[in-house]
Amino acid sequence: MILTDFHVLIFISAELLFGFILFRAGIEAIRVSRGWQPGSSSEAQIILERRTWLVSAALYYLSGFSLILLVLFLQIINNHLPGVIQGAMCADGILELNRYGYPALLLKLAQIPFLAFFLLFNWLDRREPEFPLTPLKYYWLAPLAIFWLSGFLSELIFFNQIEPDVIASCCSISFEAARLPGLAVSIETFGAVYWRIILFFLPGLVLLLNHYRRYVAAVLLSLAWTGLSLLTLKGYFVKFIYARPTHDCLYDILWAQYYGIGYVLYGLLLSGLIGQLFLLLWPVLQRRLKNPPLHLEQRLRLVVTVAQFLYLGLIGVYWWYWIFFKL
Amino acid sequence: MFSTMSNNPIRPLHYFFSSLTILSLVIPALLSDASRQGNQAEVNRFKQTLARELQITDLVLTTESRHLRHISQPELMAVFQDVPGFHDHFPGSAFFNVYPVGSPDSAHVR
Amino acid sequence: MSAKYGHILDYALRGLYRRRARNLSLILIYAAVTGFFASVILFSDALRREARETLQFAPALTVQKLAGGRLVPQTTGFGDSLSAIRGVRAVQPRIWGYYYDSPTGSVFTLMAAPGGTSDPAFHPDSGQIVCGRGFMESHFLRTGDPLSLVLPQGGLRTFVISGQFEPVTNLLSYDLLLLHPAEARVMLGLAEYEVTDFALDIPNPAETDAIGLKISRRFPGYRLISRDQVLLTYEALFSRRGGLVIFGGLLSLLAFIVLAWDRASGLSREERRELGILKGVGWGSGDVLLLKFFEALTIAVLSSLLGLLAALIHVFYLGGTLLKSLLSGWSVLYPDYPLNYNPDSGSLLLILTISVLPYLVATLIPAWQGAVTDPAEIMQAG
Repeated sequence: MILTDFHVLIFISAELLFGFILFRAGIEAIRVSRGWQPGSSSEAQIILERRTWLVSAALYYLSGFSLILLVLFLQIINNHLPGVIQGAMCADGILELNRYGYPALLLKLAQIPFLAFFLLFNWLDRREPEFPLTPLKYYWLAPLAIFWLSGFLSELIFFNQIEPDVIASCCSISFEAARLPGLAVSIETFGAVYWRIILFFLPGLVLLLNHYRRYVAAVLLSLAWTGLSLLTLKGYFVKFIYARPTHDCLYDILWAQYYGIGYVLYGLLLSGLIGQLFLLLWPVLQRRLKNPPLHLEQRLRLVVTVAQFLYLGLIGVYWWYWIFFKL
Repeated sequence: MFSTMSNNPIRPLHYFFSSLTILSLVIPALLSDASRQGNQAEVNRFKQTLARELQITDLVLTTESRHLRHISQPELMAVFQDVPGFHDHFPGSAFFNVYPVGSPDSAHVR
Repeated sequence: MSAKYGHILDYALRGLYRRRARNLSLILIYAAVTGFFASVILFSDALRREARETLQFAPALTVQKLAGGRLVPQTTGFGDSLSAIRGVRAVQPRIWGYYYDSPTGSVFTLMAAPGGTSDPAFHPDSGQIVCGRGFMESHFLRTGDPLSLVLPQGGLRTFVISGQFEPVTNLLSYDLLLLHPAEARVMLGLAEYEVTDFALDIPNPAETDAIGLKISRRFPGYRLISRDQVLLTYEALFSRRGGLVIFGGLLSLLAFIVLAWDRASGLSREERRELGILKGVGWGSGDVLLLKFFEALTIAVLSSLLGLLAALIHVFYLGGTLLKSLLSGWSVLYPDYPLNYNPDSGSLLLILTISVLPYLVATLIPAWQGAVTDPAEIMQAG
């Protein structure tokens, strides 16, 4: 029972603020999508148009809040709670304390793409006087609300079930036995040379597929690449960031002593993925827009490629630094 | 519209940014100064030597009662203190002004 | 495009400056609320860190004898049985207890300097005493002064004060009286072969639990306290105390939000006119919303930084006076300790989150209501 801890208490309060805005925006969004009459200039339509301003403003707030809350959550599970729970050295030990830990983190992460989609849809929508995407863009709020609510509940149960007396298993122990579920391949395997070659080779293929507008394949490949990035990061590259061959924790790179490089790396992975997913939606969207922005597609492709290559470049710098100068 | 406004001698924007800059400069300065107080690393080493030498188990946060002075070392005469960091058995003590009956000794030591 | 944002920000700041008397009072109240929160967070975090850093040198295992559920003295010979256990590097007998000082009416912790190879500064000879600051200050003593203590069976014994603990260690040593072991035994009423408890030095922390289990099986009736338990006690203590205060603080924050909301929704006549004119000259609802956002953000960030500054001064320069008295309770002797601060980005983020976000939330809906009002409607009403 760790809900009396004020770090957790404040985090939960901030989550409630998030929920309040989401709820208020949700109500307006439902009203708007039920009564929306494109092109009409009736009194009711004007009132609904005013309501759309609240939804957009609220969603801008929520996007900012969700990033702050994510950092706060990571800070609590990665820096604060390991001091309180004996035996846990980083977020992995804390999240493993009960089975609501990882769902809470993943549900938190899952909200970000939906917020990003809404913001992009909203921007496209506001560019044109007829609001071509108006009821459509509000559909993103439904999964967002579901993910928020289930994430919030998992956080509550997760924090509530933590007993400070329970000695958590240290991450080094849990990582020794880390295996892929079902595949029974050790994480260590992903340090092997051919995985690294594939890792560096895939973004080029994604670039090519994007160029020929094969977006479904590109999304699948990007997803695979992101998964592979995480596995190779854990199995191989992270050691060069820590400069210790035995340490393979995915959370310690978020610490200030490693200059918070983890936020940059994970941010790049996430933004590449979001950009790629948006490209998948783009051909469908384009048909609904009268006056689509000129270079949006090229820019999205650029975002994906830059994010992926920047990620490779960053871990590459750590790697080459060790290979060429230290070993 | 804006160009006529910027002729206004009062520039709150500039006040704002300068006060914000000053605040955000003063706070880290204060932080680093607070952490520099008496050369923190040396002070820490000093404290740690003391703690190690004297095998100290508790901090002097209060001398209110023995169970709070040595909260990890439950003591004789105190009620039901079987574990360190026992739950506070006087939750009302924050609200009631109790004072010790008899000699001060009875309230404190024996 | 970005120039537009700059102009709107500029306009927002001018507006705030024009209504400066009203906004200043708001900022001050807001800063006070933030300062309260921030003080609690900074103070508890500093104490927590202090406990973590110093108590990691507490004995790996403390062995205490219980009789009828109460702590009783043990014989020195028992230490030999403990040191025979594999994995125990050294057994340190500890002699400690309390000394009630009738002139001040307060209780001090009396301790014998442990033997072994260690710093001579902590080892008074026979007839000498090393005092904590609390004793020295409450009795107006200096190093070298004679000092008489009351023996448990009556009568006085006089010591020479051979040294005092540095004020930087007050958190550990404020109420300590350090004596030679033989004299400490006399003062505590222990026999020559008796000690209070034993501290075990176990080099490998992983073995502590196994050794503890072995001792409790072989010698039932003893109580064992591990270093982990001591550390956890302090973590739990501060988080609980801090949590209770924050619970109260959340209510005051709620009250403040209601105030801010109420204030933001009740637009004055001038404000309504201003909005009407802005929309009349071509500002869109989005521009007005942005204007209101900049206003709220400015107030929130300024007040939070001010509150944070006040809290830093309160906790690290004024020693957290208001909060220390909560912890001290009924103490006769008020411990006075300086706190170290290592800037902790997590705590600062926490403080800024809880102070900035609620205000933004409270002003969002009033801002929207203002932004979507029809200019003609406002002008007619005004």
